Amino acid sequence: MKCQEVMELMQRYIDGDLDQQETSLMMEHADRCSDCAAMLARLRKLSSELEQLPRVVPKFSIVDSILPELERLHAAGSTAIGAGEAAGDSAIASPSPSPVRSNRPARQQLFRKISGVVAAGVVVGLLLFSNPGEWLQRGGSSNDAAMPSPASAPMAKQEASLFSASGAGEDAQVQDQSGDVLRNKSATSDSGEADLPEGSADARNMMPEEVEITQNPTLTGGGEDPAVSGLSIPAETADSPNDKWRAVAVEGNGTLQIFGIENNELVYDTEPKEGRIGLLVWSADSTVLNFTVTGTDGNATQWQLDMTTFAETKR
Amino acid sequence: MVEPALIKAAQAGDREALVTLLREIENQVYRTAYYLLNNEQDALDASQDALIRIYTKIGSYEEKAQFRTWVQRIVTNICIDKFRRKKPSVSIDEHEMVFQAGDNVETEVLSAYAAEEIREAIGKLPEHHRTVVVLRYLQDFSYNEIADSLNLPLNTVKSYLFRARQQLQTLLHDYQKGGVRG
Repeated sequence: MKCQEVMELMQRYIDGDLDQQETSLMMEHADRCSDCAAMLARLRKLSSELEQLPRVVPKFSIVDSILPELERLHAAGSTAIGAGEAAGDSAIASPSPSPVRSNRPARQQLFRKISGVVAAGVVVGLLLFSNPGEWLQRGGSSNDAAMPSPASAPMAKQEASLFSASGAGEDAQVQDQSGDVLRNKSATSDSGEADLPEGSADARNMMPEEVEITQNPTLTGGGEDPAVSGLSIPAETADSPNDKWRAVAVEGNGTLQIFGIENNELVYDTEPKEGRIGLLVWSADSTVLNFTVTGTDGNATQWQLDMTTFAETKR
Repeated sequence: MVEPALIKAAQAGDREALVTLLREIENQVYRTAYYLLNNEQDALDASQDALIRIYTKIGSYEEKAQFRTWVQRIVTNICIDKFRRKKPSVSIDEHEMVFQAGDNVETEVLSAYAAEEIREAIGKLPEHHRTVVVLRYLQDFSYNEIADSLNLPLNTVKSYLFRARQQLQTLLHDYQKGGVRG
């Protein structure tokens, strides 16, 4: 038997692929041929070293790191039919809907709803507080579309059932005032308002051209008006330590919203909570947001939101 | 070994099952990527790509193939794409090995030393030889499983593996003669 043939036997022997007879053949040859015996010894050593190579593991969970991407893929996949309808609708409202956004009707609807609610909050916030600029800034930084314009006042009223106890005259007054006050300079309104599916005309009307914050002295004093309780106004914000997310507790409807700081996009909207959300505290690594829900009975419950999975759990 | 029931659930659209399944295979995916690409960052990138592809393609997996060979086919294809796009130079950067809990620290230090040389030698192999070696030794695949994963004839797998071992043996033997190894 030639050494070359034995080499193949040795290789298969290493892999446990030889039968009894083949093994004997190989061993007989190796007994007589020192070169092949040495080669066999080296191959066995090599093979055992290869078997002992460290079973390296990733230093973080790769699945965790792709969860947001999987979430996006899931949303795109499971709402494909809805997306088609939404695209059809938006084709009427807007001649060139962005394909990315038209894949996310759920987010758009949420976004539109929030636009109205937050806008309402901002309008009333102006009436309530002597320093409305601060509120506006918050509203604006958390959501560009929240920037109110005169046209948004009726919509705000409609959506948030504002001023339910007020007379028609007062409504008109509110609208006038907001018109006066809100000459706001809008921040970049790149939040995709143009391709909102239905009702997007309303949403676009809400987009201010040039509005500037002015402090109107006549607005002070109305803060205790019981008619405006139950409004959705941003109560507290907290930016994550890595400057990626801004958490905004929305008073009234008891939800907590997470926005991307860079693009102002709504990332997550919590389930409505029974009570007022506050005490927003980020973990140092920005992966967990802790918050407290204070119920109408005064009882506080501790919650946490995991930013990798968007799981809300009571602590 | 991934439970067939879990795979079925994942294929039926149970998203939680699918994520659980990805968690179960994450380490084996990473291990292959790490030894094929010889670089931690590239291995993490490739593993992410592979897991996302598995997530989106789970419906196309057919039971007649073994699940783990199907998974390894995906990750090896991604890695081969990656190192074809890269320059042929082998980057062996210093970085810490992450060990699974082992029994003996001293043995692990010694084996890490030897492992470094072996990893370096594997990195010098042509891509198909390298892939065959990684599947054989890091995934404990049989000839047949390697053939299925790489869509290669059985004899080709054997000849790649045998040649790879000979080359490795030569590379490491030279090392020894050069006195680098003890």
